Amino acid sequence: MRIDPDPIIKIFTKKVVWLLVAIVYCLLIIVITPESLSSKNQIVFYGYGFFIFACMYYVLQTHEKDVQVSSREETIKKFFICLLIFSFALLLITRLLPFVHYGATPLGYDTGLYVKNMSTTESLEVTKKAFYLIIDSLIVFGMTPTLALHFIVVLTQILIAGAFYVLFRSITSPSRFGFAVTAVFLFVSSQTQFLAFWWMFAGQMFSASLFLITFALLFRWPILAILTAAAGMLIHSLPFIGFAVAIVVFAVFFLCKTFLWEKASYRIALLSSVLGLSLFGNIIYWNWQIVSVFLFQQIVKLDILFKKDISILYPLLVAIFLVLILLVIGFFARRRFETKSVEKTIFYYSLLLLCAFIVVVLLRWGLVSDQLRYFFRHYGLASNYTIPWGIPAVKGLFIDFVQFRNLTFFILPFFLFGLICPFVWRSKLANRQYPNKFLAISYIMLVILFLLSYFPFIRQHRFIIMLDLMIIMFSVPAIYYLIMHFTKDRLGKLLLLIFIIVFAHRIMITAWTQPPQIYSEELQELKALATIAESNAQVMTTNTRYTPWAIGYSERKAFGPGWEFDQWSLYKWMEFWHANGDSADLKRLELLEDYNEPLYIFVGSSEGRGNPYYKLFESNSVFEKISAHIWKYEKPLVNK
Amino acid sequence: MFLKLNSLIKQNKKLFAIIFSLIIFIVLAFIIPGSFLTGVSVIIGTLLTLFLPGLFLIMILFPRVEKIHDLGKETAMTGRSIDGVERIVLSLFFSITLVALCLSIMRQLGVVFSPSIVVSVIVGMNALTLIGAIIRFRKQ
Repeated sequence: MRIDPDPIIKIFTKKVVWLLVAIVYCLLIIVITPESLSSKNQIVFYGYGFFIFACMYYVLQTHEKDVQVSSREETIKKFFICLLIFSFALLLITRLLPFVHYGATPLGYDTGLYVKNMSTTESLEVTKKAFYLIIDSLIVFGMTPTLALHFIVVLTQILIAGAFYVLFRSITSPSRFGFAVTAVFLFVSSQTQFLAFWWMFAGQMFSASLFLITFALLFRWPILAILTAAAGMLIHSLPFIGFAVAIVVFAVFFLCKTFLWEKASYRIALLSSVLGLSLFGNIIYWNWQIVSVFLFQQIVKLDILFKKDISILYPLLVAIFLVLILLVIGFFARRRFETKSVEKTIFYYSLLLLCAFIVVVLLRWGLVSDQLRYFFRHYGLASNYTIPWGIPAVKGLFIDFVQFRNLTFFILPFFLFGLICPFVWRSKLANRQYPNKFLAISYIMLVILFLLSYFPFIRQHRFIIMLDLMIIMFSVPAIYYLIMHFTKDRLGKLLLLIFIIVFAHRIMITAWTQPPQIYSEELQELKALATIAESNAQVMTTNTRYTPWAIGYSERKAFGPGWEFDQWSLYKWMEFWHANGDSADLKRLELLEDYNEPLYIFVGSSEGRGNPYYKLFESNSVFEKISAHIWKYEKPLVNK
Repeated sequence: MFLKLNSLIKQNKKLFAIIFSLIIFIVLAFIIPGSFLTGVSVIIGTLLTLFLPGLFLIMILFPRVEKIHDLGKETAMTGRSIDGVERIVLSLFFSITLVALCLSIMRQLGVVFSPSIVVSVIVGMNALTLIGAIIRFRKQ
């Protein structure tokens, strides 16, 4: 009797693959388990991770055999339409809830700075920033600056959800619609994204939405991706960093693959061209030194950027430029590219995208060169920043990686599943295709964003927002399969309902309980200073949390610890905040003499009433209490 | 009564859409701080800046509408047809992109903006894209 070995090998291979997946999954679960959890909770998390894995294994096994999907098509379609409507409703409710609960300004740390900028340095007449140009256009039509700002911030949330929808509708996947709706729901229920909204990183969130739509258009209508990428980069460049690097890696990989691996003749041609061009570049440099000096010193201004003479590198740079030009021309000239394929199309447009990035960088060269110089001065690390108390600001005022892990632990097992099992992306109905290009770029972006947000790079914490978007992307397939499975019967639907309610409940609670940085009564007091304080008065906040608000709304020269116009060092501030003893209050009064003009001191409710300086303001007659949180300080006549 | 209303809405979808939009428009105009006229100006300005240019552009680029339904239709993307949600989302994105790029380029060219220039630019952008959409529509 002859036995056909194929099925046995298949089963064996399948088992081995699953075993490997299980091992890698378990290892990753151990690695990502938040250390802040107690050992008991860690075990609960392992159990949760194991339960999700077992569920996914079962779901994927049965899904393979599930032939009834088409008969449930209508139910599934209806379910996803309902989930889409629910997600957008939840998005609006959670994003508007803080306004209902806490009044007109519940968001942000630097709302005041934005408002101040709109009337001064970034007003319509002078601003060069695309973000302010959009907001100023709305102000022209009658919106108040605060309303325009908040409108844009809420709009960015709708835009990101919409961009996720378009992105997943644009790639080949087991279900374009199902994936798209799942992604929207995950975004809406993400606590990290809500906190980013709450901190009001308006520019970054705006640009993040344009990054997502650029990514989507790359697979759909690439020429339009160039426009959205350029607009996004003009608004805020941070969200595009991971994407730009991924595009470069993809383009270089594709070029290498084509030129180096596919045909030996190309390899020889390429190597001889590189050698020839290096020689040619050297000849250009030595003979027409003025050309390269003009190119790198006058146009690109590399010397100013690096703050040192790097002319020794010019021949190499000339050679690299020429090689790149040759590569691109050679690539476009080759006959074999006359036949079109998705990969090549994406490659062409990747190059165009990079051109758009370069154009935008050149348009904003002043700003970019400043940032690059700053980056190189500290070797890219926020921890190398010279002023220790400025490090948190350099890292970006947002949650740190540990908090981020705690907030996302609910979907981390799903994310891991999407990450280590690429076959969940395979479309069974479209010739078992993978969304190869989407996955390639996404994996590269994920790695880059993980590195940028895990290690203490400059703006480390801001990259967490982008990393969260990638985690949502990779969690989508696993959750989609669970949804598909649960819609089979009534009990499953009930479980699904509980699952959705749990996610929605968490985000609703967060939206309801997240207090504002400043309460509306406190803000009213700051606004009142604009009318009651002398024109030469200064406003001091004893906590940096309130400084941007004072700057934006008091209409007077305002400062806080470490801000412009602050005349104290950290040591003096420490003395002011914490000094105790008999002479402590005298010392505080002595310190305050550094400020000459009438000084209004704002102490917010978050600082507590037990502070020594609060007690001093309440008890000493030098301080005149003009409202619940503001004292007026004037030097005693003797000192004057 | 509810069924009757439902069937009436189904028969006069466009009419009800216009009435519904008008109601929302008026309610919003009242809600927005300032006088009623300010509210109207804000709503029209927002639509002109953040929605309409993109919508007209989308009408030029993606003339066909696809239904929200693709389960079982996992064939290669044509890119030419989009569903209703995508149409709204892309309209917003392209409006923002057009406004941001147009104003940034003008600024780079040395134009000093005043409110009247910005309004002219935005109205002009809407007019141009509308003309394009009409031409595309008539060709079809």
